[in-house]
Amino acid sequence: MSDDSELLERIKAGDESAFSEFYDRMAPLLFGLVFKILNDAREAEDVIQEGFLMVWKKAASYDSARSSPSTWVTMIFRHKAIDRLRARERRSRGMERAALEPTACHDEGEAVLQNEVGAAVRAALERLPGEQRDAIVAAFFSGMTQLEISEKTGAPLGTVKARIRRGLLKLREHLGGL
Amino acid sequence: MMDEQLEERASLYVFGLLEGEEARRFEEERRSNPELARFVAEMEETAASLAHAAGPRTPPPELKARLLGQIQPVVPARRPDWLPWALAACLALLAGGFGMECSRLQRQLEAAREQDELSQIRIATLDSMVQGSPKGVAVVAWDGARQEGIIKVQNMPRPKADQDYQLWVFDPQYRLPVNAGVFHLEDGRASFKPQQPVHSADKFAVTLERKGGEPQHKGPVVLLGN
Repeated sequence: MSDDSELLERIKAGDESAFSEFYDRMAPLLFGLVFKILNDAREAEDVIQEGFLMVWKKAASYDSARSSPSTWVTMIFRHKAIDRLRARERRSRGMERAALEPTACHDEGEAVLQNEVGAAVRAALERLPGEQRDAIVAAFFSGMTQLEISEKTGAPLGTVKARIRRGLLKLREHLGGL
Repeated sequence: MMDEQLEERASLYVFGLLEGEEARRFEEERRSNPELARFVAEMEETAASLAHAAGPRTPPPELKARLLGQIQPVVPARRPDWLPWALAACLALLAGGFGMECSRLQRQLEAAREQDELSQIRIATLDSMVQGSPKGVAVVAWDGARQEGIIKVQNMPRPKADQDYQLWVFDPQYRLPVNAGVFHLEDGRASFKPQQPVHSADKFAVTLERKGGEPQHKGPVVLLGN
């Protein structure tokens, strides 16, 4: 079995079977992420489709010295989902969802697959002080600006920035060699 | 050793929370400071791991089938940039196209395709959907690989001062037509670039909308074709 970096190298060369394998590996994680951000299955499908077409066309721009393949695609798909969230002017609903359900797995009648990494990340989040966890979750999933997070939480802007920094550093520490 | 302020800006940066000039200045600093670049990379890995907290979700199987049907062989980077020439050739065809039988236009297109000159250019003819005379008509030259095209129109009345003609692309991947923007009739033709990726341009339509256009079509369809 190929590793993710090798698959991306083959995708760069136009290898469709590598693209298919990369999709199988990444799509559940990315679909879960963009669905959580958008809370709309059809829109999430559109983002997945656009995102993977971008991976196919732009695989050559991947820089292995800068990030792992998983991080590269996660940040691309997150960015696309947040762009779409902002564009459809339903940001306030997104904010409510992210703020109220910081670590919840949506299921809406559909069984949500669990895995060890997900459980470890959720556990690491749970270990953060509540205000840091909320700031981190809002920053990652909601598409809110610093100012909006500040207004939403009632904390001064400087406090929000400090919470995000401390929360992210602690999260890195808690995740260790994950 | 980085100070807290720099760590703070790096943390905001990985979440996309730096904007405008602040983001630009941070990017510059990151490029010139290897320690900062390493820190940002670590923070990005940590931030990306949050995706796992959402829980995996299996996409519908038809989504993968659709994607695999859409990917095309990668074009070698050394291929010359032929688009301007090809579009110019296309327009040369179109310049006389309005008086031609459609089949003749198609034959010319096929002949050009055999020479691989216009292999990625799709031609669509649009007919008037409104009563009256003379009948409006349009031809669209669409390059799916470049996601851009040209529309040439004839016999179309000028829209009112508070209206614009707007072009739409019908792609079965989307529930609604894709907005390809408003166009003006000064010289009878205009270039366009749809606002979403178009995977399969099945049909094109022109509607009459309020000045500046609409995000989703509201006005009457005046031209339609494929």
